[in-house]
Amino acid sequence: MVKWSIIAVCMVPVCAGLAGVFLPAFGWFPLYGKSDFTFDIIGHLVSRAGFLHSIWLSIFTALFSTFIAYWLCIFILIYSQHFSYHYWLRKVIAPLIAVPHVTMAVGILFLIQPSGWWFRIISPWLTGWQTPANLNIVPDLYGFSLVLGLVVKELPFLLLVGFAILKQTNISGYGQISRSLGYGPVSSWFHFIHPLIAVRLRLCVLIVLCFAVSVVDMALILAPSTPAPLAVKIFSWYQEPEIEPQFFAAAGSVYLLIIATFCCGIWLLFGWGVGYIFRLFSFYGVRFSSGWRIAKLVQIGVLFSAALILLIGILGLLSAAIWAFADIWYFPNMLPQKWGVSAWENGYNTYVSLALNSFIIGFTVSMLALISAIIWLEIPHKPVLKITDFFIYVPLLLPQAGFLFGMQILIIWLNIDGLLFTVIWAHYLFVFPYILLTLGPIWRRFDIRYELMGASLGLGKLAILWRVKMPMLAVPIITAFSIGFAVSCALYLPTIFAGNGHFLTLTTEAVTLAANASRQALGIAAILQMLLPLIIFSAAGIYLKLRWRRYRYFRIAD
Amino acid sequence: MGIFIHKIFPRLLLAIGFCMTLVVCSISVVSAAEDHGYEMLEEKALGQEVSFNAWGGSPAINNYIQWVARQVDERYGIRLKHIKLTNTSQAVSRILAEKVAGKTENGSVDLLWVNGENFSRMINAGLLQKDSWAFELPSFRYVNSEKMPDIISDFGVSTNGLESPWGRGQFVFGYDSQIVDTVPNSANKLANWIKNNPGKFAYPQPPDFTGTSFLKQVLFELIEDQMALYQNTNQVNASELLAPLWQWLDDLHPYLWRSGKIFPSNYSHLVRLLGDKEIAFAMAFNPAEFALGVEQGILPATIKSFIFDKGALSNVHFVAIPFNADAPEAAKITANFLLSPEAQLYKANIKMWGDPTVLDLDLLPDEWRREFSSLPQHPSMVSVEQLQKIIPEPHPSWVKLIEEEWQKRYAAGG
Repeated sequence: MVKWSIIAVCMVPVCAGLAGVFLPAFGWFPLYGKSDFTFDIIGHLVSRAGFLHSIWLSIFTALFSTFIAYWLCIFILIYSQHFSYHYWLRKVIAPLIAVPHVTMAVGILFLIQPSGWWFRIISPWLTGWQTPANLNIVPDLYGFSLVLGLVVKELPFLLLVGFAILKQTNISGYGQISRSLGYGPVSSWFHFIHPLIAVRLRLCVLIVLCFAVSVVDMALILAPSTPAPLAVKIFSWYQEPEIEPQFFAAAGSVYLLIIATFCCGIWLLFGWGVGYIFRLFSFYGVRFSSGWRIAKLVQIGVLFSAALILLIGILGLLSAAIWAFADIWYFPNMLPQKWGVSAWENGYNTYVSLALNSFIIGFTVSMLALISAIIWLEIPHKPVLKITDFFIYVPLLLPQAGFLFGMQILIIWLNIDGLLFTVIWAHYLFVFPYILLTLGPIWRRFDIRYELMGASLGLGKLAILWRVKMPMLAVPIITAFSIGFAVSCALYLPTIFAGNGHFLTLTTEAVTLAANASRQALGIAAILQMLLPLIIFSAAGIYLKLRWRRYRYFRIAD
Repeated sequence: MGIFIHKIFPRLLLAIGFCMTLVVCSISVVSAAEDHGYEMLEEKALGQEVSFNAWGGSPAINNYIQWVARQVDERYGIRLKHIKLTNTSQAVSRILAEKVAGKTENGSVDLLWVNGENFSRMINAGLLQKDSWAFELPSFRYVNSEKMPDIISDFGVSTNGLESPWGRGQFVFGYDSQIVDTVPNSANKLANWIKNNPGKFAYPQPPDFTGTSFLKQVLFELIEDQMALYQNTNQVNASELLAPLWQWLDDLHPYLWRSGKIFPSNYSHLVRLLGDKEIAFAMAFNPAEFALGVEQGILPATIKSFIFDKGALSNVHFVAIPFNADAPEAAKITANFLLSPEAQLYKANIKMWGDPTVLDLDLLPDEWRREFSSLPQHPSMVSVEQLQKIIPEPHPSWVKLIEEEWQKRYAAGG
């Protein structure tokens, strides 16, 4: 019953959203005077100049960035077994997860463009440049800048989930067995532990992949525009004031959905292929134990590139933060010529109320989503629900502009537009899948013997949940909550659409500031957006330490 | 100080109030009959909340709207709420969604900052109020539509009083006087400069508004029969008329920033590049934009502005009221205030926003005319006399054609 109501809460708007995309895509939009079903629009798009190139860009950037982020994540997880750097690694990735994609894109752009921070640091004494050189660095023609930006954002997310999964897997046990069978530390990882992690990480990776296919805000800044990736094209079609592009946008969204499915297919096929090869190796008893030197080289290479990528993210955010306090900063000065807070003086009094709005919405949504996710996971899975699982992830897969239009008609029709409740509902659609995603794989693989032990001690179902399962899974729960909060904080279009623009948050403010030419305004936006999720991340950590101190020896994934 | 607050300040207020009453009375004598309806509006508007949907990307404009909000609150008891948009089409699609869902009253938008294509889209979908309310506003008497026809004709589409003029956009260039010695104030001179200084010029990628406007501005110089641009593209030989523009661009693209393979995404990106000295020119649709940038420290003081010798592409921006507005009365009062000499004067001030007025100075009472002519000037701004050279916007069908052709030629990859 509870489960069905969660499904209804998610499905009804999702279906309305899907209708808002699919009906116009096939030519049905009576208000614009078109009500005949046709495949013309879908067909016409392919013949438009640059359309196939756009599709190729979307596929390439999505698959390539996910590939890099995934394998870097796996290698870091491997090596973090040998070193104890993952403690501070987790501290480093928290702000990278907390900031929205657009903030990160702006930071990276400023860092690596020809007039950016790196070149300001080495100019003119090293490069001899008094004015910036005309280099095709960012955005580049092939989409590498976008790939970099996506990896910077997705690697920390995968790592966070990966760490939680890792701690729950009996690594040392598998490691000992495999080494007793003659496998080296690295190859034992690939033969025994990677398959276990890959399964639990799979859904997360697919969401990351789909996100990369449909990303707009980051692509607007880092992707090439001649032509742009498909998602950006769809976005600009939706923004056009004329009627015809609205149909193109809807039809483009259908293509985007197909591309996302295609990319997921390729990814799964690839994963299956890798698995098959390793099974062959195991079958023929290949040990890879002699390649120590190569393993060492790979290790250095991987750690170096991972460190570089995280460094780019951190420096990008740092440069944005410096801009917020720079009154004047021109090329080629390494640091601002004049520091100051003049950019903050415009509207500092509104920031508090904006932060409060963000907090109220984010906290309520994440709490509701967390509770419903736990209920969802606790109720035994019937096969019939597998299809509905797909619907829950639809909001993450579709381009928001098109999807939200159909949803908006539903909201207005129900006469609940512009209410706080509606904003929370709209956020829930995006937060719930993320929480389910981060919590689900760990929750489902919780060792049932703990529950049996609890039952044998006379605990009821609720008591087992409350006194055994939740304390032991405290870290994943808090992590999921923090991610949900960060997701809610970063949502722009749903906040505007559902709230009629009446509920302003830090992100709505930041996005309008980002339209401004001043980097000072961008810097302020970046700081504001970083701050709140960071506070929640650290508050969650402190709460964990204080509240559940006595459980700490039993806790999973600390 | 104490004396000032307790004794003089109230008297000063009284005096000002008296003067204002006098002005208001003298105006209302002129057209007492017209204003009777307007007073009824004021009564209805008291206490209403107006949600003003307007692009929110500029702190200068946002501050101005805040000032307006304080004024209409004090004078009419109207609570004005600025809904900051990143793109006007956001609000248009929201109103459209309300129409689809059958919400014919209590709509979420009361007043919308709009012009050009968005306005014609709203007319076509029937999203605006039906009566020609804008012509009946008391402030409209200071507007001269014979002198400035674009005040009642928005990109060639007749407004019919469905939107009220607010300000004027004019296409100006900004340049770095440290890099550029003599201003290339024609399309040919600009082309020569670009060829001699490769990598130092860029324009935002169409369909960005500023980028398309740049192409239109250049087109006006390259074309002989300029009147053809005021006709629909399907009534003239458009491809032949556009040929010189493509020729001009084909010649120049290899010499542009990033060799014309990558373009800045929008106006803000362009201005940031100018501030970074990656490029030497930028362009904007507000004559005060570069002066404002210098004032705010976004741009160095070496940035100056100019317009092409033949004149500046120019249009008017408006405010409109949707068909289902919740507080149409208060929205009209607000639109009237936005058009009043006082609000227009404050808006034209470079310290505030610097947006040129849509009022005809000759129709204004003397004291207001004096105020307008004594507005401060800025070294980074084009002079008011120069800005008199106006090129009205071509027929809207050209925008679509230019954008599509540009896309095919320069953004199809390969």
